[in-house]
Amino acid sequence: MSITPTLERAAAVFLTRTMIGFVYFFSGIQRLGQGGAPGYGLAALEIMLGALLLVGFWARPVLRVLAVMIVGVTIWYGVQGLSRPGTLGPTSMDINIVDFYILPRAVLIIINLFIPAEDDVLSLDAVIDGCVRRVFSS
Amino acid sequence: MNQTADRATAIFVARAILGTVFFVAGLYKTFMWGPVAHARELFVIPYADTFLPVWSLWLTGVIVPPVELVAGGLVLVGLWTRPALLALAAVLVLVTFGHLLVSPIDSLFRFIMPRSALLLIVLLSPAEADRYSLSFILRWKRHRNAEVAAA
Repeated sequence: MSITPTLERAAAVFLTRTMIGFVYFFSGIQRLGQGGAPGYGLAALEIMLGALLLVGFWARPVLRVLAVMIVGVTIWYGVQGLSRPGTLGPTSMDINIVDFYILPRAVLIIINLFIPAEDDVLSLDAVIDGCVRRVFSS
Repeated sequence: MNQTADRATAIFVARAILGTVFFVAGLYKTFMWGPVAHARELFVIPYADTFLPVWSLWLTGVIVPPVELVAGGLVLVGLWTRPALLALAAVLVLVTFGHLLVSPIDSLFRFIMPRSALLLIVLLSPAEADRYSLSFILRWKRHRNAEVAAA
């Protein structure tokens, strides 16, 4: 089997999709231990969205939901920071949340969305569309 | 949905996060901390022993908060995005110089590099691909009004 540009792009989108899928899936699993109805609800949502990304089923709609969620989380932490002025330094946002929670997730979502959906051939969506053969025949 | 919508969503994520981070910082520094206190504590005192003239420290220290506030807000809503991005890029260059003058090089990686990456994603994307922005909505409205007037 030769490595084709199609396979390279498929590998790139597979890598970023599964990484972000694992991040949300295990984030949900860990959140289960926190308890409480909102906690369980959010955990279930993260597990479901993470699992869908891992197998590549409805990947694009899931990525769009996660995109809205990560922007919402950012705005939420911005408002939180402004409600506690002077406690979070000059940026008024928790730098650990921004640098280690928001930005890595955002970058993976952004890269995934920039790669055309047709290149995501190593996914359940592609199996259903019957286009897996394209990557190996090209 | 298609690739256009996916790309617009990707740009929206980068732009909204970048805008929020700078807008929140600008809001805090301008209205809660105060530009003068910001200039004194982050610019004048830490750089007092450097070759930089004191007037330049006061000037930049007072200017940065409103620039972050206005440019961050504009980037967040997607209005005049390109000029606002250039203003934020200037802030990032200034902060890079300031950090490296008195701090070790790894201080860049926590604050400046991630924000620069988001800024570059938006700046290097075609402006017309940024569909979930106020500029796009206004452009679309103008286009529609022109069509109605021509009909």
